[in-house]
Amino acid sequence: MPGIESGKTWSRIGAESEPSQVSASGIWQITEASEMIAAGKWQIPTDPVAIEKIAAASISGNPADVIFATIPQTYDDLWVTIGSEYYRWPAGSGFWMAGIRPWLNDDNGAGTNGYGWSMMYGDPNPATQPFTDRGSNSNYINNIGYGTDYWQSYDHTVNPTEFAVFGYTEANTYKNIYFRASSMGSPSSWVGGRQGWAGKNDNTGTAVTKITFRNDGQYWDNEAKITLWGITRAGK
Amino acid sequence: MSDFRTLAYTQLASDTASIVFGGLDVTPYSVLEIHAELKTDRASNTWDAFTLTPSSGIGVTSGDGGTANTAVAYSSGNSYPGAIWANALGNAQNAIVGICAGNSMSGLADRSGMPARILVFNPVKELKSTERDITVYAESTGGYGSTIGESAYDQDVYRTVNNWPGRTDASITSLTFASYYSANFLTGSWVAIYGYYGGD
Repeated sequence: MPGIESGKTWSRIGAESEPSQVSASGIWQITEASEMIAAGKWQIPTDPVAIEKIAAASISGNPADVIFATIPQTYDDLWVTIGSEYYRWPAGSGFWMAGIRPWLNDDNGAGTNGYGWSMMYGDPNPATQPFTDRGSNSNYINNIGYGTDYWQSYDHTVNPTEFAVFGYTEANTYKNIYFRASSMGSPSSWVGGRQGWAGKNDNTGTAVTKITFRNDGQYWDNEAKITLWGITRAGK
Repeated sequence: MSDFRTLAYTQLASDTASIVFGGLDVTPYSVLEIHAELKTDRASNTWDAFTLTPSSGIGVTSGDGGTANTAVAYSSGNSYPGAIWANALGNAQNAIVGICAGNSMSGLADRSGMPARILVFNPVKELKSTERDITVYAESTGGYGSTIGESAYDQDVYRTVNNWPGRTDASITSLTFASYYSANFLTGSWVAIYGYYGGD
């Protein structure tokens, strides 16, 4: 019969034509899909997305703490990026740098959830000498990076910092933490950077549902840009 | 649409000597980023080291593109406070990339491993390039803090750069992680391979 061939591994209902486009305008129809496969034009699927923005902090009133509360438990790892100037000296004068002091959940004051950290860093003084530090604290990680205020005519007020928590949904494992930061208090000698690892070294805690970034007893600038990202290891 | 995408991920359900990712299509990616938490049954120490072997690129000792090189820097937080250490490891083809947890580390059963972040540059064959080095930049740790710091060699903050030249080598199609001391990666260890997507 005309139009019928033996040995074909696929067929469609209705008139047969070679597809002319490489992707469908909407959801694939089964006939479109079979035609594309047969024509060797099936669009290769891309790898799944691994990262999504969870929240960008809304900062007002120059708070001491920036808090991400009620963190969804739908990712594998967390990543926080901090950019822009993040310290404000309330009197509007003086020479000040401020460190970032993070903790998980409500550990600050709880006194039972031990943190440990090790880092290499090149600031603050003398600016050209590298240092290392290893420490521990019951309540928080002491300082993952410095920032400047904007009153002293510093050349730079952007101090990019990143902070990551691995396996934050796991309730009964130690949590590994990664951080990296710059300090650009030029023209002062408070110029350098640091990189290190930290951990919440107990297995009795719950999953991480909250992260607090304290500005070392000082104040966050309202223009600071702090974003919480969620990473899905296998992608979505 | 995010351009930070997942190429492969595994979390070990049983102890294994090596973790192999095969069938990778790295063509759309300019850089691969790898996150991992690894622990091994190396019983003689709190830490182990691991190697990363790509399917192409590391077999070159000289000539086309030059000689493979590896360098390492690590901070000392205990015995030698205030010191940064560095070594040039020469042209080892299968060099140490990172540090992971060994069997005698404190709280090992409660850990998914010691963490590492790794960047792999130039995973794709470049036909028109006069130079193409597969370069691996890795940050890892053998322990941190006052109670679990890596005390044997004080490699608390460990950074390596491995450089494998060879412009005509094929694109990477597989990556293999292995214990440097021939131990086994323990159940629960995981590795995720991400890529910076640059398009088809």
